[in-house]
Amino acid sequence: MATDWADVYRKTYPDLVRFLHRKVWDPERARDLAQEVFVRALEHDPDDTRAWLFTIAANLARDEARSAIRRKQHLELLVTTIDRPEPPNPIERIEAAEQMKAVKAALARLSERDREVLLLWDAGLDYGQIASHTGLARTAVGTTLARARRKLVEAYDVGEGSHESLG
Amino acid sequence: MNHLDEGTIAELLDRGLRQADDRRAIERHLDACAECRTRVDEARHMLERARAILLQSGPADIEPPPFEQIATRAGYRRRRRWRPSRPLALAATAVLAIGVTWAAGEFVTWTPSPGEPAGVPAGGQMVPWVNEPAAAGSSMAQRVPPVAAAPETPPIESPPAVAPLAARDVAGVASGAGPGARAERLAAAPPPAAAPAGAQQRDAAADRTTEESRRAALGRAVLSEQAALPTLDDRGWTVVARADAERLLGGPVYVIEGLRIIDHAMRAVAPVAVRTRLALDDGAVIALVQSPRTDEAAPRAGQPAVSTGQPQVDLGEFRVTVSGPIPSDSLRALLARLRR
Repeated sequence: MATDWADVYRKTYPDLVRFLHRKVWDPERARDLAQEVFVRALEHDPDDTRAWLFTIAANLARDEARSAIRRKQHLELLVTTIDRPEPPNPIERIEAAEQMKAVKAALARLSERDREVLLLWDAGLDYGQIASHTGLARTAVGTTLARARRKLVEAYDVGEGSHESLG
Repeated sequence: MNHLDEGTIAELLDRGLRQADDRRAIERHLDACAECRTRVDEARHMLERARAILLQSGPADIEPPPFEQIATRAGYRRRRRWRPSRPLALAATAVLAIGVTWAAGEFVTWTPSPGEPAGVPAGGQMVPWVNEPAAAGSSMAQRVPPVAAAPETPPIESPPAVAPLAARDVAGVASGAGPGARAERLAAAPPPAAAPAGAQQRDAAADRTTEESRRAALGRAVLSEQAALPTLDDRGWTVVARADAERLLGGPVYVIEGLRIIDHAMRAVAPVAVRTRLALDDGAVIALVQSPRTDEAAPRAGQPAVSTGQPQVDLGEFRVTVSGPIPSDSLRALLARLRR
């Protein structure tokens, strides 16, 4: 059956942008890359759409990071590049930026594999897709994921986010 | 049943268990094992916290751009894939040259000089074979049928005349390929400025490469045959993604550090340029227009130039001009904060 790409696009685009944003830490760049992923998807028309989209997104984000290093540009979180929508007042804007920094720092404390598994899980991929994407055995995904979640929470609590109440 | 391990609990919570029997066995175990129930609760709490932490890293309320915009880009690329690449074009030219040479050989014969025996080419004069009776003993002439005239070989080395980019784009759309309304708007755009004669000869290879990359970026938006196209406002600007803007320019798009980016747009008529709109804190909007620098207008790199009346600066191979509803001095100060 032919893929309804308009539907896939509408449902997946936000997850894809969030996934990419946690890799490049630049909202505008994340949006650009997400659009590029869909352009490529339309060209290739893959079967397993969601897994394919996130695999390409991960590759693009990796290339992006490499080229950024080549250009000697640091992938710092730039508060001022946060485009739409912005929190309405400066205090909220600063708080949002601090939260993002805290999450970024917590994610940075995870191993690359744990981080990848965690982000793919958060993007909605199932265990089989995560295993296929990362090269892990399917039976190892649960253990890796549990460890990654625990480490993220611990790192976040130790870092700048320790004062935040997240339920 | 043994106590549940961490991976199994994760699978249970994430609905990753493949076998319904596994789930039933685990649920039976949990009914009987308080220790495992506690561990499941702890794992669930950890899962919810991890999701909440990730959720706040933003960005929030992500609005996807129109799907048609993506489809347009993909559609153009799909067609473009069938264009011959430069190596392929060179190979085809070489094959054509060989073929023409062979054909030319087939259509000529040797006319013996006086005193030389017929059919002996050495020392003879080569002339085109033009429907004359075959010389006795010439095997080549016997193979070749009479023709009216030898085919004219086009010059291989000289490239075909290339119309200005924007003119071709407009013609392509207006000739029926695109929607009429868009064609009219494009046709109404100002004609491209004539390039200086000397500029066409300058660094041809580099220009061609740059031109191709610009054409690729322009083409995605302009050469589309699909109904849904990016919005083109009255001044001829088409909103594009930053990556496309950089492809169009063949280099980085400059922005002003500390200002929110509203959008990037490209100009579909020559000279090629990218406009970046930026928002000031008080809501005012300023615009940066970045275009490749021409030699005749190039002051020293990095030095402000005021020849157009608008503050502008040259950075590498680009000129960036800024305009907006604030004093010129303030605009010039903003130019000092240009960053890639």
